[in-house]
Amino acid sequence: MRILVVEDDKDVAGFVVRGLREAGHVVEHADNGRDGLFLAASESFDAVILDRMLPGGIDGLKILETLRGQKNTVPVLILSALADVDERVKGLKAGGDDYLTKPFAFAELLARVEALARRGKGEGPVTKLVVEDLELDLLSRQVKRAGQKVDLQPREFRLLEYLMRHAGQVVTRTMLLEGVWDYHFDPQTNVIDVHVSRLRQKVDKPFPTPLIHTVRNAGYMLRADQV
Amino acid sequence: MAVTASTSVLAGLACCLALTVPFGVPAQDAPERVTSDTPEFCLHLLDQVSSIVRDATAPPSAEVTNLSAEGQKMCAHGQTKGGIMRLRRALVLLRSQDAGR
Amino acid sequence: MLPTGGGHGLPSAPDGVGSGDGRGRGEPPPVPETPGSAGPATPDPAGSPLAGSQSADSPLGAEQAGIDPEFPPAAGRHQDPDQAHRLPMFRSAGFRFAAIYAVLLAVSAGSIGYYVWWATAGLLDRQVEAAIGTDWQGLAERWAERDVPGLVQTIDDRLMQNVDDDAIYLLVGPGLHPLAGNLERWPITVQASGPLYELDVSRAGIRSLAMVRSYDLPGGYHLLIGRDVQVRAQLRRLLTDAMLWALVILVALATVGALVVRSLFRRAIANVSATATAIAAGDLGQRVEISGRGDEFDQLAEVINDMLDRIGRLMDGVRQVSNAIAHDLRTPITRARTRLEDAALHAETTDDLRAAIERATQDLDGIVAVFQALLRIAEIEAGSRRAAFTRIDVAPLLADLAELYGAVAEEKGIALETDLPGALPTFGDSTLIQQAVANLLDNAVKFSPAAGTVRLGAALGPTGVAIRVADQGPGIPAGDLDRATQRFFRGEAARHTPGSGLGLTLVQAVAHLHGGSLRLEANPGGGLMAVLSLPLPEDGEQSNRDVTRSPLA
Repeated sequence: MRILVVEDDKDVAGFVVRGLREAGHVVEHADNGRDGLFLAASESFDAVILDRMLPGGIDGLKILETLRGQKNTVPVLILSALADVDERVKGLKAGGDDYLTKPFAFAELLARVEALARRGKGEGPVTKLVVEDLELDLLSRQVKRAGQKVDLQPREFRLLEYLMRHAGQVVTRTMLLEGVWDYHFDPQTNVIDVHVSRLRQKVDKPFPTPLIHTVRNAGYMLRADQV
Repeated sequence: MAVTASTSVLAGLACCLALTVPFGVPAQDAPERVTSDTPEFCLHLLDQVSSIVRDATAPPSAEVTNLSAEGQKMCAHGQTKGGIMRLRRALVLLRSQDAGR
Repeated sequence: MLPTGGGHGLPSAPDGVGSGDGRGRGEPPPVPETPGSAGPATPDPAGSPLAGSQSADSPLGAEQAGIDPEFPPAAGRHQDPDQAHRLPMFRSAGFRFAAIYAVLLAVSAGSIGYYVWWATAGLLDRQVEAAIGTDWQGLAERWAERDVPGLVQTIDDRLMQNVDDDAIYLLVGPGLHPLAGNLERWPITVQASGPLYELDVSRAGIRSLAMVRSYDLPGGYHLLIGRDVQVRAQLRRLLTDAMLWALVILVALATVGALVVRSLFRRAIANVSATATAIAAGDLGQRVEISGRGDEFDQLAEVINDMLDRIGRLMDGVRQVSNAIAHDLRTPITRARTRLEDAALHAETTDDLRAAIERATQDLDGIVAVFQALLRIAEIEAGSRRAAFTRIDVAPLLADLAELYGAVAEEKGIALETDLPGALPTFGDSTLIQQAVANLLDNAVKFSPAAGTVRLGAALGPTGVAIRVADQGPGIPAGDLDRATQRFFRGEAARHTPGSGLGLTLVQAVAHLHGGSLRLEANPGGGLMAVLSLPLPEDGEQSNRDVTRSPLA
């Protein structure tokens, strides 16, 4: 994917750009607001990672507002040290699609950016999600794997749905908390892990190949096992 | 602060007082003489008293007599004001007696 | 990812923390302004020491100097008591009050004085006028009856019977030659026949004063009627003198009175202003004196003292927090650092190094989480979230949380029982309440023994919603119950479990922000029971309105 990183801190930028390139993406980098806006407006990207505090007179939010004003709908992930809720809301209201506070784990950033870019592709409404032999019917709320019906609680269903919508992408625990439970805090106990493990019991265990994988230090990913 | 306060108060009251004093005193070079304070007036009064007593039917009362006698004496001795006053009183008494009758 | 700047004891904030922005790297993060006070933008008092510390001195040095290191006195922007005396005159409120007093006194005295004048000297003048008028009427009748001769006779008679010796008459013919009366000639000054004239007269050599009026008679005759007012003039002079003396006395009294008023005013204000000055200079123990009279100044003093008490508590709280932060964060920071140093010195393989680095990263993440939590708590305590409060139903929220933690409980062999009614209306922020209850459930599940029971219950009562989380863990000893909500407090029983000691602090902050409360009790049957109370929607709305209006909440 083509990703634009607008970040003035050399260390952070270097780290992110390197990491993204290693993950196989094409990355452009701007270290000030003016260049960032220019690049974002003149070239097409699958996602933009935008720092809020930028030198050069144009800050992140202004860039965002300008882009949206130009009807540019590129998915934007805002990076900021400003963590309080009002700032989050401000960022999202200005047109951001996701908001990540510093300091962040690279795995989190990568997972979210990829999710954003995929979302941006606009797949249109679907009634069925299919990964390998796992089928999730959104209309009838039924799950089948290898033809067999899998009985899921409503919450487990939503958890599986989220994983399937992000099939092939890393899904962090935070993303799951936000996406499935609509929670915006970090519980101390491993609540998510427990729920995922229960889901695995029902979806993976009775079947020969696991689909739900744990990604070390990142989260989970649902994909066809490629060994 | 005290000075300004007091001057303003002073000015205020002075204005008030000034307005109550009638102004426009006309220019006068010499005071007018009143003619009813002179010994001549005294004599005039005495004449009047005598003429009324003369024409009266009844004799004058003791008070009248006293007053007119005193008045006459005072006028003769230069105490014009006192004499005039007594003679006037005598005349008033005589006139009232006259009117009463 | 973590910033490199900052050389102080406290790590510096990247790009500004909380509500600030554009703060350069290397400055200590500002203590959140007015923690706990409600509503937006409470006005900054002149020279407010809370406007971010500027001193670059070491905190320890400043403390030794006796100055609160976080709140250095604002340089020269407050007024010392001496300056109050040099206040330009016209700006002084004391002067205004004194001037008002003086003016009121002058106006009152002036009015009384004028009335006295009018009632005495004025009355005399009016009487004279009336007498002259009456005289004229009589004489006019006489003229009408008997023409000139009759008038002459009448004038003579009147003069002769004028016992009071005060009448002035003069009848003149067309050529101004005198016909009757006791004036020698027509006075030059009497020109017109309407107004009242003052006339200097000489009576047997003695100067006197008369008031005369001229009347015109048909045939070119003029009649002057007047009265000797010498006595009255003397009386008027006496009155004038008295008035002038009264004026002098009045001025003296006004001056003295004004000074007294001003000093009373100053004294009433001085106490408050001196106390405030002392406090601004750093002495927080000062309080305004209360005279015991219960008057408006006492009420003001009480309000100010209450405010000072509150500020004192807040500052103590802040100090506590700074100390706690400094202390409690050193440990994980030290641990991370030690691990890294150890790895640098002793790691033998790249894998070892990588492992050490990962562990250190985790430690640092833990520290970051603590900071996040602290900031969250500070943000909640600052009260700005109140603006977004709305009517909500927490029942579905609780059900979701129960479901979320149900899985974890089950995993650990703990039974999670719920007792939730269908609807629990209240007024507030659902995210905050969610986080608060989650913290309580987190704790309960963390400390519950296997085969124990955690109960989540809620009830709607007359005062609002009460949410109960009870566990059967070790609980909190009675002596520690009060301190349990302090930042970084960790009881003995919790010493070896993961956690930063901020969970209950956050719950309490959320409770207070909503106008509710957090009560911690021993669970009958062992363990801890936490009761989070939230107000009814109407009460919450009302108090939210009140609170966001008054800065002294």
